[in-house]
Amino acid sequence: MSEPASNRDNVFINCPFDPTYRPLFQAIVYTVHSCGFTARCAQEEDNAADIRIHKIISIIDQRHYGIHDISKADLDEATKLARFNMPLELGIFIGAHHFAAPDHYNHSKKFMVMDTEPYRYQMFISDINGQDIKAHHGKIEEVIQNVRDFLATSSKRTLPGASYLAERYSNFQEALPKICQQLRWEVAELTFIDYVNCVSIWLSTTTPQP
Amino acid sequence: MSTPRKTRFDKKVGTIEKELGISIYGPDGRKIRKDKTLGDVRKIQTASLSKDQQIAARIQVKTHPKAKASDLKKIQKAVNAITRR
Repeated sequence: MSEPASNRDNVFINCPFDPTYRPLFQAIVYTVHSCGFTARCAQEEDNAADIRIHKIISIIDQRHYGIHDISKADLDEATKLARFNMPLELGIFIGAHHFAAPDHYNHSKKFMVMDTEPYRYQMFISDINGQDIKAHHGKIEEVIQNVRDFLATSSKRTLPGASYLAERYSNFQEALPKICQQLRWEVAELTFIDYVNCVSIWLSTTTPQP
Repeated sequence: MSTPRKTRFDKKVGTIEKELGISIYGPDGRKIRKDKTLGDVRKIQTASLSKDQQIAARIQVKTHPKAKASDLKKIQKAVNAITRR
């Protein structure tokens, strides 16, 4: 079964959506778009009528690439329990890739897993041992580097260097409050789609043209 | 009905003159011999960009499939306003 052309540039982002992780999430989205791909995640779906797990399965089915961050392994302050959504979605993604017939488009799925520290995952999700887990140490520059390198290697496309992307991202971060001010929006209240729209318009307007 | 295909040959003389930085026709309406071509001008412009900028310039930035055209228009106006300052 051949893959619809629209899926080939889709990148599924599976990461925490809480405010502490937001700067890293936004850096991932920015990097994905500046490399010519489209960032997709569970936050773009707002149809309450759908069963959540069906929604996630459908999103995973339509994405060629997957970026998974399993760094949120700590306990929730209020409940004293860990959240398992990220490992669950990673498992569905690996399953979709593994169980697909060789001629099915899901068989060519490509993914990357990130954590804060190298080898830390062995303490809580040791079954993925043997995968090349990338560490980002909670730093935006390292997230940009990991995402850029994964997309360049797996798509075999020529992409700008990570330091160039990081420099442009810091310019965008400076511009974003001004863009929001013009629109009478608050940066902290941007929805996923609003943020992606700001990224894509800013990139297409400010990227130097020959 | 499909719109006619645009190529650089469809450009108006004024646009080409702007891009080249020289006038193609003299005041008498006669064609002036060009000392450079659009290709030469573009080569010079490309050379002024760094390697990363050249790669970035070739990348086509995608808009999200769930984006609304009206939202994109609003954001484009806001980005134009701050980049023109």
